[in-house]
Amino acid sequence: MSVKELQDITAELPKGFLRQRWHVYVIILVIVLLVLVLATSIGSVSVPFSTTFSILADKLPFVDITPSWSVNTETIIFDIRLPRVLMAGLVGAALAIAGATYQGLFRNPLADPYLIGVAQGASLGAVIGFLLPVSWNLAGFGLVPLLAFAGALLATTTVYLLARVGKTLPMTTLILAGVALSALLSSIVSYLVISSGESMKAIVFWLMGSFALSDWSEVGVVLPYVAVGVIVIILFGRMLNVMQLDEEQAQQLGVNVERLKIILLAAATLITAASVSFVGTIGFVGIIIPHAVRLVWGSDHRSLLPLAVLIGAIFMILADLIARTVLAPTEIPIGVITAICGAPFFLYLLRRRKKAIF
Amino acid sequence: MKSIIKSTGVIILLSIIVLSLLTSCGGPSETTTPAETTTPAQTTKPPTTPVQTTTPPTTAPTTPTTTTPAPTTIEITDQADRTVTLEGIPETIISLSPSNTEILFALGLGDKVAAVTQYCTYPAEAQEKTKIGGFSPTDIDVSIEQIVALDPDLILATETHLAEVVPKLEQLVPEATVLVILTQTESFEVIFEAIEMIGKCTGAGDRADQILTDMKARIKAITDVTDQLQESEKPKVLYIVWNDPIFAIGGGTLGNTLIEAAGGINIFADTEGAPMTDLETIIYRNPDVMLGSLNVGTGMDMAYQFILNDERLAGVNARLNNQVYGANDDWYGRPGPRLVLALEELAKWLHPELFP
Repeated sequence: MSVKELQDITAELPKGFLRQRWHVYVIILVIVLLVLVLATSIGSVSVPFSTTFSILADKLPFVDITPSWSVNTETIIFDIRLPRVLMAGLVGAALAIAGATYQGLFRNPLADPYLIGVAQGASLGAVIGFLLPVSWNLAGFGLVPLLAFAGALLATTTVYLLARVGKTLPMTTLILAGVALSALLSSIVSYLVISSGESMKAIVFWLMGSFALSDWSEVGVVLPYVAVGVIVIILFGRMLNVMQLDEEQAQQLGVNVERLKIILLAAATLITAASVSFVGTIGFVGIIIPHAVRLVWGSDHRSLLPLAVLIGAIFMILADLIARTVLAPTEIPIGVITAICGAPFFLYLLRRRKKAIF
Repeated sequence: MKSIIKSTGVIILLSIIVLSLLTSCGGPSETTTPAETTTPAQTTKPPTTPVQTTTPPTTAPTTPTTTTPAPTTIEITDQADRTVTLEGIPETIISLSPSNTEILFALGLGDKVAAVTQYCTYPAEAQEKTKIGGFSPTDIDVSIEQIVALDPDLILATETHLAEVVPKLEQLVPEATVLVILTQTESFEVIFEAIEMIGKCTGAGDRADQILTDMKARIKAITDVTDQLQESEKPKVLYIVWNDPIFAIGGGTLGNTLIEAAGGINIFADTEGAPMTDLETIIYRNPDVMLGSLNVGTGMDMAYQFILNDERLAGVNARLNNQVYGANDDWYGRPGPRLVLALEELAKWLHPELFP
């Protein structure tokens, strides 16, 4: 990519993909809604699709349907499945866009949302939460999610401060600091897990990740973070195109590279931390979804970022659907599903395109 | 890449946890169980036949019932079908599981117990013994060198130790007898057999007989009543051991046997072991009684608090009728003498009118 081409891209930033291929977004958005309703109507307990639809429609403003269903059915659909499906969608969207952002920022295809210590910081926070002999609830955050969230932010802030060189933030130093601190934190986590005795069960299940107990209050806490973070990333993320070439050239083109890096890092970290705090560290999504989107629709960040949000949401909702239905009433850990379904599909895409993607 | 490694690690950890969970809660019997063909209902029937019926007769001269035998060499087939020899009466015993520790102390052998695991919380004296590690499927948790240093005559292992620990012990502590006692069983008979076998090996046969007579009588007192119940008179029972995610007690477990013996129907009897399940199935199957694990020693009561307080379960029969109880892990999960306490408590909860 020459400087001339870059200038062209920068010049037409506001238009771009959205104008040319708006129908792609519309179709995918419709698919998101369909998957949402579908996933809510399917579960270990069979509820007719029409009943699910009526219960959901009844909740919409200005719609009033006389209930022909039992209170328990409504609890199942509205208080158990719907928040769970929404939570899966939110977390899938958050991890996918955070992954895409990290890959763009670090110019490294192996970057994932957990690269600079979010997961390890959250894990350590959660483990401490499990080991503390108290329990409380603060504004929708229980002790464990609260400490996980704090741990995630503390870890990334530490990495950031360690990696700063004067007023700049060299990405290589950031990765190295992130990997080193992650290793340190995860060894502490391992030690605490081993010496935690009876709490071990709780901790290991938390580390595995699960949507099993997601409820409306959790959705309410995570939604604002993800919404704000996603909007910020989409607004500023188009600049990532310019940064793909060279930070120095981007600087010459008038991009405030250091400020951009901080904004994007902060937003991606925040949404990852918010997700991880409630559902644990779910792997693969943050790395595979952005690449899958790149393989199908190209690596222009103006389309990559919003599409990653939608595809990430679809993928996670379906993965959770599989996790809770295939062996019903037994559930499968969600991380197993994201790996089993995600990896082969990704490899298929990779083979089909047989050319360098990054 | 990192997340791949991480997930693999997590999956391995998960399987370890699930295994240990199954162990502590009584998982599906392994094919090595000699008595596994008996169904739970039958196992709790009055002991019209002596305990040995389901056991392949051991080659040992079964004498210890009346007098403590003179120190002789006996040959015994343990619950993993291993044939081992034991010379005289062991003076130094090491227990590798909480249930074995409880059995040893119940047999009055506390003084001879040299070391236990860190999970051996009962009786209180057990906690003062030397700790030789945890209770896990890998030997990483058992300090072989500490066992060697203690120079034991008898080591009570479990099927969890078969793969790695037992071979190592046979090699490094050849003078000690390693006896494998099953802990993952759904059958009371297997537990009776274990108590009898440990009694025989330690010269405490009389005490073992007393314990067994008492246990069987008390179990019979309950099953005699519950066997008469019609299916419609039996409450549907949910028993969860963990809440996030939810792990319930399924079929083929000791917990399931306890529920059935106490005159209840386990709503997850159609699953195996301790399945990870979901809220909607629980609401749909609408249990009349809910039990949540309560670890008295560590104060871990999340499972109990969850079924007691979660709003989404508010419409379930058990909550509407205040039939939510905390099940003491140590009573309900350990295949030892205190199982009777669990059964008596559960029977009172399920049928207060029959067991005042």
